[in-house]
Amino acid sequence: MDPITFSIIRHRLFRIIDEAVITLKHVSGSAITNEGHDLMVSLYRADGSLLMGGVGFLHHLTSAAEACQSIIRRFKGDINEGDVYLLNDPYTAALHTSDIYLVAPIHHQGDLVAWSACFVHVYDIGATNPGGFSPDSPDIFTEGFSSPGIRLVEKGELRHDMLDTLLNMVRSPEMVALDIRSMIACNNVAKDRMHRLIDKYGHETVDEACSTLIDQSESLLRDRLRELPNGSWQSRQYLNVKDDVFRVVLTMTKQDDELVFDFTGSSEQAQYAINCTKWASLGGLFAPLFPLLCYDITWNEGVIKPITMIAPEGSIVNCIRPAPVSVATVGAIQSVNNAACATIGKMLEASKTYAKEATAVWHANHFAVFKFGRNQHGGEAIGIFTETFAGAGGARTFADGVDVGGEVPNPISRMANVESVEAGFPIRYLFRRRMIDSGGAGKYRGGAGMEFGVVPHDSPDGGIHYVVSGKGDDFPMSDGLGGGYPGAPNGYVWVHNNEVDGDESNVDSKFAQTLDELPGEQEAVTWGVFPLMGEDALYIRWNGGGGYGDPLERDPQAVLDDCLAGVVSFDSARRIYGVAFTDENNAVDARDTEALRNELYAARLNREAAE
Amino acid sequence: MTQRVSEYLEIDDGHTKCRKCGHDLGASKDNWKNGAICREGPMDGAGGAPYRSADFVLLRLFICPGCGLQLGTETAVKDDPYLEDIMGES
Amino acid sequence: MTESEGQSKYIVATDVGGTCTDTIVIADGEQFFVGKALSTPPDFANGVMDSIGVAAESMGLSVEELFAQTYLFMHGSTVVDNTLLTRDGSTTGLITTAGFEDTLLVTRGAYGRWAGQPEEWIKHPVATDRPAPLVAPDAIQGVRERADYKGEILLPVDDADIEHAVRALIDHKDVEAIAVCFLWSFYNDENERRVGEIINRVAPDAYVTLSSEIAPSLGEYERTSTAVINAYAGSITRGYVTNLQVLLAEHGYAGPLMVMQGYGGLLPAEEAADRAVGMIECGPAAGVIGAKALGDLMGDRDIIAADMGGTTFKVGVIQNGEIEYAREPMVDRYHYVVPKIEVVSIGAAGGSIVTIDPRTKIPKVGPRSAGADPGPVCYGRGGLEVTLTDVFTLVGYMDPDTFLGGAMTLDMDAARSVFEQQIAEPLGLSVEAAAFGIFRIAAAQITDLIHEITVERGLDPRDHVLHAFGGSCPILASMFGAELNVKRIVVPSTASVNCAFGLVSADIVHEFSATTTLPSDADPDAINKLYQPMIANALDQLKSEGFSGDDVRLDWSVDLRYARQVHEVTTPVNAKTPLDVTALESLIDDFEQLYERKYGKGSAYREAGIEMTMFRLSASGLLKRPEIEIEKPGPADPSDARTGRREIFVDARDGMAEADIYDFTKLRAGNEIAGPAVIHTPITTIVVQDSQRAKMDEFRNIIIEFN
Repeated sequence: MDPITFSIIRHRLFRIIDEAVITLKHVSGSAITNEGHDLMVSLYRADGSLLMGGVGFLHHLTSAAEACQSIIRRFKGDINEGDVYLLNDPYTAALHTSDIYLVAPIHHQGDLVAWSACFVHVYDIGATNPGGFSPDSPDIFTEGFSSPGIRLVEKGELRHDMLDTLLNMVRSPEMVALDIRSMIACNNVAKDRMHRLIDKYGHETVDEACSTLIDQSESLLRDRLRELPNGSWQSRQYLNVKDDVFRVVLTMTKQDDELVFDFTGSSEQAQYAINCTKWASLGGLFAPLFPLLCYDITWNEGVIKPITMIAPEGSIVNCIRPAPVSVATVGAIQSVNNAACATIGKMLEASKTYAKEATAVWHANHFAVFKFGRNQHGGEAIGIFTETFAGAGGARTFADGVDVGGEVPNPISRMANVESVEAGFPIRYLFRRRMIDSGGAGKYRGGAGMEFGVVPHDSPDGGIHYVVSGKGDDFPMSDGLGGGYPGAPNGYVWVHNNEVDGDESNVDSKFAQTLDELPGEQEAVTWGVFPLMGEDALYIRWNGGGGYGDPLERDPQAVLDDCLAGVVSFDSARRIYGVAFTDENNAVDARDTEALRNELYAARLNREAAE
Repeated sequence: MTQRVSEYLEIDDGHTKCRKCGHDLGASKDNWKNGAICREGPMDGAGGAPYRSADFVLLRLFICPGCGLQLGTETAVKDDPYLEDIMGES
Repeated sequence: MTESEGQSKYIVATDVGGTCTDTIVIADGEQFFVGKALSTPPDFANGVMDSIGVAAESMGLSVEELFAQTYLFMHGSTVVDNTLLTRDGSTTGLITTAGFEDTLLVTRGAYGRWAGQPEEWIKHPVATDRPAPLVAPDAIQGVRERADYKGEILLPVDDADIEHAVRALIDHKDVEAIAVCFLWSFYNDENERRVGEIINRVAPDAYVTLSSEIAPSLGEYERTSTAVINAYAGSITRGYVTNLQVLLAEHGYAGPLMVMQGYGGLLPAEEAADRAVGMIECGPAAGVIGAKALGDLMGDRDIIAADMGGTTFKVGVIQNGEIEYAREPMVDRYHYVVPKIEVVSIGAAGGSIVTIDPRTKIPKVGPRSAGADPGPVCYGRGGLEVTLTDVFTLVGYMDPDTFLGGAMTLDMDAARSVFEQQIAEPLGLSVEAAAFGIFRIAAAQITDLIHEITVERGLDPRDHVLHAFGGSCPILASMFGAELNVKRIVVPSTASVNCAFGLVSADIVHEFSATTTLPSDADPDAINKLYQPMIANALDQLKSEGFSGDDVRLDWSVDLRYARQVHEVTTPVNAKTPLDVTALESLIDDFEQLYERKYGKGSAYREAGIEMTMFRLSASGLLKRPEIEIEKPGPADPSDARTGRREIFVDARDGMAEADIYDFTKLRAGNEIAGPAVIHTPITTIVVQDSQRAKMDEFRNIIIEFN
């Protein structure tokens, strides 16, 4: 089609999504939406296929397409102008119940021409545990309100009976109502802007631009795939809950211009809520694929066509109802993200042209701790520690990963200031800093994660509680690339009985600077609800990104800089990087470094020692 | 014509070889890891304190038998098979 | 400010921009004079004197003669922006709360990596990094201290600790400047002040910035970053302002030097010298102030002010006569938090390079720019890539012989052949069709940008008047203004020196704030009590600057929010002050209205309660301004100014059409022009599209209206 009109329509479609995202954030006003950017807005064609994906939590782009399609099937012949549908059943399309989709048809002169869809992680969904992640739920029935599709707005009129039914089942219904309102407003903005676009250019022209965009994305991705070498690459992600270990195993095969992601070999579905449904797995593999392979290609249906997924039924990546899935987004879905990131990284590294796009795995284990209780102002408060969105970058083939640099599946997240958290929750931070030795070692180091400690402060109830879920603290999950080490695992420690008996020497424990300065007993916690009451403290550290390349090839000066910045320990510098320093530890000793590295190479080659 | 596998590995004449020292790691249709030295040990071999983990969590390092270069790493539970990365015909 | 007697009748204002330094000279009952010269980084003062020289020359005066009759000099400068851009600031250290030493470096996670990046980089995380911090990681010292959310000091600082930290920075890290930021210091600055005292004793030469002084607001990352930027650019700024004062004095100027701030008010040089961060983007802020002043003159309260020069397109919005502060301002990808007028910019301007994506054949405008050197192909200075300016020439808008008043001729042939080869052929279109297309794309992109900016504020562009400034904006304004369906377009007579015009429109303004959280049903006296010390300070300061009585204006405003939502809205106090119960209620009502307008219907969760979080005071010293001479409107017939006819691109006709060409300098107030037409001014070109009408008003502004 005419490249000028095409260019203008394309630009406008992007802006439509931007404006809808602004609306979502404005109306909702919640911290998770505004700080964590835990949201998504996209446009779909009349048949529910992805037209334009926005920047948000990218797992949702494909599953919201399925949401549109399942609404089309369910309400066939009865989809009217001004309707808005709500869907959050993971076995129909959604990822977990607390990520509610609102999808809305867009009509022009009476014809259905497109859909808009959005989601936010709502304040609460009425599951066993507050906030959405519900480790105590044994099945989907205890994971709160769940709908395979209801008409929430009928021809422009909100169905209050439906909304009230939902609100009747959740904690803090007013906040959930705001979330729902924000999504309705967001869809309205998308609809209004699409109308204006179609009014100006005509439906046929806009439709032609849309199909051209999709064709273009498809051919761009196929061209790129043809440039990459053929092969198959594997990745394995471990998840652990209590004493059970689960695996997500991926074999990614690239042949010509197609990619197949095969999860055969993954664990059977779990009794814990870490499972994910097949729509969630599909979203999970596209979330890194969009930014890693399609950074310069419009994210739409065209990108989806060359990709096939095989996910065995009854497995942890394609579970069968009523398996619980509330923790999926920080459970198996994230494992799928990581596995796909790892195999895509290896494929890119095998191409001289694309090696610069390869990356070790980023921040692979959301610690996703929700805190809840009465705050110092007397109100009920539920909120995630937004630090989980702060992430850590994987090392690249030309540079270190970015310390606390975010994550691939949600490119524009951020964490709240300490002061913002302390203003709204009755807790006080003791420290929040980069975690030493957390970034995977390598020629280029993985970005560091962080550690923080909190204690109750001014709580009317003596403290609050928190929900821990996710994938445990045993396994590192941010895999290294090309000989680089994985980033360090998460750590969650409940420190009991940090009693201060008035003795001067104990004053410092109130201002402890490290985990070990806290005098209480340490207990690792990874799954369930725990107290932060009285003399308790909570310590959390999160994983760094994976490293790239052999650490013995790292520039010794870079190792020294890391040591001086407190990101790498002097012990690791010696043991892992083979770097020796002068006596004051303020300069690299080149000769000793060379000798040390030769020793380490020799030790690696000592076959007997290896047995 | 050689085919790049990674910064450290390439396929030359049907065999996977170390790009630093040329050591032959076996036929390219097989897993090159079988031709490398595998050093398997506790996870804290990857770094300092934050890597301390349960006994069943292992770190595998794949080393070039020719020059000692670290070609790859993986996390594994004991007896889980090596991950296989095999380049196809281009 | 007392107006000087006798011979002192002029106000001189000079704005240093990225490319040009502009001067405007005004006096009662006289026409205004302008001067333009190239900016001269890093020694900006040379460009300042050049620019004043040009203005003086046009008046038939020497600089000394002009200064002898000048009673006020106003100034805006990019010196701070430039210091950051070139990383030319002082070696800076940071003292912060122990345990939180990484706050600055980790930028609230990925925030510092993606903020300020265009979408194409946001979608490409592997290719993005944070900018290098302005403080070396090993020049950050944590000291044990702590306050809580109420501002209660839980742990006082230890003098010996601090002295040790300061010595470590000075002796081992060779720092010249130190920023200090502690948690919750904006509630209780005791610990920070103690550090300030100790630094002054231990290292009296070090430049010191306390976060509680420069940015007393919640959010330790942004507050730290602000303190660091201020410390980093502090010495250079102080040196710059001091040198300029000396230079002006050497040329015979005896009056005060007033320096523009990013919030749109002026500060006396002595005060501005220690608020480097306040000067960031003060030029564009002045531009918005200029638009507001012109709007006040013309009776327009809702304005979209658009400025398009060689490298960027900048937009500010004035709503009901009020200017909005930026919520998350950045300078060169560094966050800071001081009151600053929101001006959004994108890389789409005359110098923007036009490219065709080789894979998709999609044409794209910007964000790369050819800048001033080599500039567009048609400048004939060696530019080899097509720019938007080249497209303007190809569609007939530029007169190759009278460009910039004839100061430069344009090489049309070169522009044409490069355009054909780089753009038209790959698109499979004729040169004309391709050029029309690119022009339309540029206009559409700007339409989209302005639309998004207004949506962000809950506004409708149709309620606004569009002011078009800068060398390139009046060429495109009739296109995007029509699509946005604005009320009308104004191309101000001062468009070429808009920021300098903004300077002479500004007043002396001191901004104060107190951060604390109070419920909406608080005792009004608790609020009044917060204002008392701010007012006392403000009146003292203004008095020392010569303002009292009617020359002083105090504006209160309060940041409010719904207790469980994150959005804060700065709400002006329109009721009488000090507040009583009724006045407070009306403030709350105003907030609720503003909130719903900005964030949409149903966005408020009232049941959670309303909180006040920041109390602001703007204390203005009102300057007396000369009245510029106006031109009595004459007949509508513009034919005396018509210089000919030529073919130009007319959007509605989808091609070239004959149009009348006018010389701005010959137009008279009252003249009316029917589109399609082109008006050439000495610095820009105004395009009037088909079925639009242009009129010159008594201030010599061109007003374009749609039929």
